[in-house]
Amino acid sequence: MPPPRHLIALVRERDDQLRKESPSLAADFRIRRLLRGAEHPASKSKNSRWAMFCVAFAMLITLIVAVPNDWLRPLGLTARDAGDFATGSSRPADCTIRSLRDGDAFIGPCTLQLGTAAVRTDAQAEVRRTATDLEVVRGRAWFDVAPVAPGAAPVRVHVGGGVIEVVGTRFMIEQGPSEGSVHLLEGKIRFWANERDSIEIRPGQRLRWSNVDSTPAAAPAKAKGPAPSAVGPTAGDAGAVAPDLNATTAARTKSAPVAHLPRSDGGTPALAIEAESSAREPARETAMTDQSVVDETVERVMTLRASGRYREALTRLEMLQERELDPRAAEAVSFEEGNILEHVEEPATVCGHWKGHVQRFPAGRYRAIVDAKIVRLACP
Amino acid sequence: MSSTEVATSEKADGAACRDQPRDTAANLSWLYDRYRQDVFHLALRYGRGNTAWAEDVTQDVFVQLLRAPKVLAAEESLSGWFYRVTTNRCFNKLRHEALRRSLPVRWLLGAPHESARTPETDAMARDELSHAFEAVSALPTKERLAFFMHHVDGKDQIEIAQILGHSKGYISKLLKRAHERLTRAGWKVDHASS
Repeated sequence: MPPPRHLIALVRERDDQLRKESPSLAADFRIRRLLRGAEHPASKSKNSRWAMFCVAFAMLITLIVAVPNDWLRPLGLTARDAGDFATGSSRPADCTIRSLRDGDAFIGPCTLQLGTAAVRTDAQAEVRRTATDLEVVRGRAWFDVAPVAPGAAPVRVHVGGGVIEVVGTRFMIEQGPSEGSVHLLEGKIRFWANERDSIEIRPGQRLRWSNVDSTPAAAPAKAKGPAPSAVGPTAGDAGAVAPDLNATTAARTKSAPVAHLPRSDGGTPALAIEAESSAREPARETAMTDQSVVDETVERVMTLRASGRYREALTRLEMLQERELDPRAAEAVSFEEGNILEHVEEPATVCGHWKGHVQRFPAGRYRAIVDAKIVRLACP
Repeated sequence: MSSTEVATSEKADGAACRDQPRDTAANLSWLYDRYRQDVFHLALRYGRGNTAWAEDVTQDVFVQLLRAPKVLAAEESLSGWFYRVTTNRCFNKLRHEALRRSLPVRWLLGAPHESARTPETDAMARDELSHAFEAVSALPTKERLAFFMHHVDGKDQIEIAQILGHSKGYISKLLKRAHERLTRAGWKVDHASS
């Protein structure tokens, strides 16, 4: 058995050997550099503060752009909700969106999908959206409202003279600084001048009104409509656009039957309904022939067609055909309509459309394609 | 750092502090130059001669110095601060590694078995000095630290208790256990030589 060894002396000796060792040059350099990094602690702290500020700013922008309005409203913020715009349609560059405390304002020429309502506005228009309702503040706006499910709340559009209640239809609203009108193209709408008085408008009819706050003698009571929860500013305070309603109305009312809705206070009637024969004219007068509008509509129609919503696409095209279109745009619309009809109508109807197309546009861009279609369908 | 060296170092601290630069960066550099070797030596000892391990500890200690600006201005014993911080850092690192080497943790992490042997320890174990050093290094962490601090650095049990944050009685028990283990391993723990 070996003798016991003196451990502590050996350990001390070995420890002295270790004392002579030094950190490697790489470690020494690394630690020295680390300590030099503390040379300007203030500037480092300043840099980190800048970085934190930049990160916070980027996060705020992301929040405003990406988060839906409903999430931000409680915080007093609103965001542009890209999902509101109709799928496949592009927002014209001149369309301005302004966030309001209780909703959004769309100013200028816009093509929008606001809930179940597809809305197109002209350059002078301002349309507002609140949590529940829509409002035409000024200018012209064309509405195409999808049918509301039974039991669901109707779409309400506030105008200067009251509230229009819609359950699925197409119409055009024209709102001036002192009066306005709605021209019903299809379906049925009900106009509420106040909480008690309403009037139903039939297709082809046009209802005119005087703004509530611009004609106090005619309408002393502010119109609230059936659900006055979301009444916004009225057209009287917008006042930048003045469609020549008086002139056109004066000319037409000579020949058109006019119905008046008496106001609840028995004062001067502020509402007047014109018959179809005269009401169609202003729509043509105010037709927009802007190629960009046609392009947007066709683009939207193609999107609807791609998703199998042929009837809606046809409705859109019909709306477009009611305007004065230049021949090139009219041919594109007719061609598109024929393509959609092939999906929903009998071959005879489609043949009739294509033959009519050839007659209207004998030297059109789509002539060769249409001829091939006629052959394929074996049209008589 | 032996007991005499510690005493000498602490005596020198007063004089050295007078030469200590006031500028932060220069001060850190001065402190590094002055205490680097002591810190590295302690780390190397507790790291069983593993150089990389000791370098990591050295870096950690000086990083901790950056976060303790009061130490820079203190007129107290800097060597005492470095000794305490380095020992504690080694203790925490060893305890952490022991935990990671434990079977349940290795099983949870799916880590392969890690041997405590390194090329350095293998090279060291060739002579009697290294055998002795390895015998002490094989003690449980707390016993090892207490043993080195008491028998190599000359700290009394009260000092060791303060540095490791334990009672004097517990340190006494650790030293007794260490002696028993080493004696069982065939070593003579000669108190007379310490």
